[in-house]
Amino acid sequence: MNAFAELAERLADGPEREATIRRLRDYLATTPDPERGFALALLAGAVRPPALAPARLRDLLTARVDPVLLGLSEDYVGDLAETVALLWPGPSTAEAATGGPPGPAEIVAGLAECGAGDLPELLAGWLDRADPVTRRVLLRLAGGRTRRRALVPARLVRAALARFGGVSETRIEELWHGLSPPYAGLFAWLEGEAGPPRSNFAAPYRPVMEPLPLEAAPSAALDPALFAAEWQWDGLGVQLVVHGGDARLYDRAGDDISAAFPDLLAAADGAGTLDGELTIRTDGVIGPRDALRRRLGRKTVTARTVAELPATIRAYDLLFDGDEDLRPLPFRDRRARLEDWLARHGGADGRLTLSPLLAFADRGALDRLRQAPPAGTRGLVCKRLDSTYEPGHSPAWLCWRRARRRIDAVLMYARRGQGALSTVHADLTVGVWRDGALVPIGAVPVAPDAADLDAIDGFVRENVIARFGPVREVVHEGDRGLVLELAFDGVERAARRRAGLQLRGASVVGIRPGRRPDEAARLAALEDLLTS
Amino acid sequence: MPAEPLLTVTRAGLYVPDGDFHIDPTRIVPRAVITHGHADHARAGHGAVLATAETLAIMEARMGPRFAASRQALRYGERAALGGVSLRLLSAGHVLGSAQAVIEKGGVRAIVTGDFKRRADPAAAPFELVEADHLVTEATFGLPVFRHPPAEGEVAKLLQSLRLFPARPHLVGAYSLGKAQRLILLLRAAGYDLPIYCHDAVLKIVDVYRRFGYDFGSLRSLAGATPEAFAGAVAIGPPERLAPALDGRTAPPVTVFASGWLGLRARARRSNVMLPLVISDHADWDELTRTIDEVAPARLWVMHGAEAALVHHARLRGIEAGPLPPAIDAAVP
Repeated sequence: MNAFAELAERLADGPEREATIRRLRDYLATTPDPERGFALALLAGAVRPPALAPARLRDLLTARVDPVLLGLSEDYVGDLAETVALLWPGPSTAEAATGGPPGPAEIVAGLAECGAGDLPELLAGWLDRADPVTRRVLLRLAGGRTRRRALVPARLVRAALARFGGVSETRIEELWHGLSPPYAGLFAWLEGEAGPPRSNFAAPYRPVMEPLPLEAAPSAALDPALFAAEWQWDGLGVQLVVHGGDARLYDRAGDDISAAFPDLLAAADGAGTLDGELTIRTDGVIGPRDALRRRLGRKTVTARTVAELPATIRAYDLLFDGDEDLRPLPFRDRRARLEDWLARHGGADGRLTLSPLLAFADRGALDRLRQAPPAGTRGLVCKRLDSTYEPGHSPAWLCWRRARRRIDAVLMYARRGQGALSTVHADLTVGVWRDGALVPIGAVPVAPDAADLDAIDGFVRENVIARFGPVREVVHEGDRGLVLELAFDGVERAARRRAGLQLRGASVVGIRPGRRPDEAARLAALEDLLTS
Repeated sequence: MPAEPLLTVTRAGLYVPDGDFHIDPTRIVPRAVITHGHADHARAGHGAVLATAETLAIMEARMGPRFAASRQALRYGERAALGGVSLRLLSAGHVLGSAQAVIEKGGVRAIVTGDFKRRADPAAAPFELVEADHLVTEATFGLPVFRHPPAEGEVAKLLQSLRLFPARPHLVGAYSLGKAQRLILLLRAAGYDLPIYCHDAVLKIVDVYRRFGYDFGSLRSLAGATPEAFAGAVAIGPPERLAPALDGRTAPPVTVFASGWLGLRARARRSNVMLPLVISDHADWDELTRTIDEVAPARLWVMHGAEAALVHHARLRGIEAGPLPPAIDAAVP
């Protein structure tokens, strides 16, 4: 048994927070340095391997396995990475592996030095030495459709560290992003052998406070004497930190995205830590999310991209003013400090602006506001005026979004879902009518709680009319086909789509029984909802 | 191969015309050979039943004394003349009393494996191998993605979990015939000697095993146990009946399930258990292909599961292979 791989696999199962923390703590207590530190880095997604394209992954297996058996297996399993892990002609146990399966230190070192071109060979060498559980974990780290950044939610890793060392989670969270694997100084501190480690960053990330949906506190007294209200911006939540001669931009999870937004690092000329929403804005208008995606995830960015797609931040909270920690202050006071800080340090070029507070008389007025939010917003956030800044999702902040819209659409294509849904057709492409023909409006996942999952899967299996790789085309005519009800947050332009638009936050709610496909929605109805 | 095959298929299942008997028929027939006691192979109501003494005892425990009009017990390796054929039962290694049916006539031999596995099982006799002209194999795990890990390593995970969560009961879902007894003996072999709590469906079958000389150490009935007894204890039973048996009486349990299907990640996750154990009483891909290679038949029929990959494997080796042919009496509805 490979302890690291076994841990990663168990944690991936674990919906149970307490069990996850206990398993992690036990692993940290029984594993020596530097293995445990590198294991932690892999679990928490602190190591970013280059992505391995599914085609390269399939090539690796095609060179080693009978193509008929590969085809039958992939069809049965429904997930390429899983198929590779199971089918790879490697040892069946960790004990049988020559030299033992690769451990965390070897994996981190290998991934750090490897370019995208070398990854297939590196991975193949590891898979040859790995048992099936280790193979699965390696593939989750480096390739396949299920590739994810973190194997375990980073907050659970931090909770386990806190429990392991008997310190507060907030303390760990503040330190975490300024440390690097294998975290020797962190463990020395947690085991009482040294003082707290020093952060690498002069401008550290602070764990953010986030709203809960209003449904979590439906009876909240949304009274102007108790609450302030502002728009919930439809962008990317960020934290801008300027401190000690350094400036950094973090996303909400604490990942450093400074490299992609050099224009924002220079936006403020004073020291402080502020939360806001990043949007791409040209001529005062918030651009489509497509523009935001084009700037995200880049290691470097050209001056031309910066000029074409200028980034701006709508600031809504101030956590630090210089060295002064404002988080113990109530929102009302932090807000005043934020306005003052922006007036002094916000610059004049409009890249850093205030998210305005909205005047309202009562809950009914708020309800009307959130039902008709302006372009670039998704609804409202209501914040208790007396709320101190507490990291995590807090009931003192409530988001009240525009009600989700619903339409009926026709199932056109289906492929299997991911993870727990990889045995059923849960990734569905649906269409609506334009000029008597169905136009696909995109792939929509089935809501995890949809009761009709198995019925939809059954329909797909019995009504396939064509196959394109993993995708199944199902019957979709005016009188024969399956009508699905979709829920979605909004509609946005997408020039490269056949329909010219795409849905935001769409999911399949369930089957519309007794509906004929030709009773489904028209594209014109969606065009009427375009917001940008 | 003779022109007249030893085996054919009727709507009731595999049939031996020269002996006038079915093997594991799915409908009531006058004469049946039963390979083992699982419900999808052993049914009540047949005329004459021939099986190992262990399988007959399991059938009686599950279906009552009148499960068949008459019965005949055969030891492993013992020959019986049935009509024009000779029949032997050889151990299949699946569960207590599980057998392969070996049918011979005029120098031609056919084997029906029933359910089988090749690896060691402290609760079943080891698989016996003979060569044959015609092999009928099961294919529950007939895809190369199924390669079961050693059961001892999986049980070690259960023991580790007991150390990690000492205050929580461990509810181990397992079939009450075979898997449960195997798990108990694997735990005993790994040095776990505390009382194990069993659902009554398991205890009923344990009694049969005990009559054939198996020792399970201290077992207790789940039904009579107090909540205090469950802190850190192991309880074994059919998965759907375990949770209600403990409902509300204990600390939150650690749910465990032992099945060969859990080797697939998606299956393990959809099973919603905290600790999936990949332990199977069926041959995995390596065991299935090794068995085909070693039995070296001229003709192979594949049943119970995923046939295509095994048929492909056998054809590459020059074996005339296919799924079970259609029933000869199927035209008449």
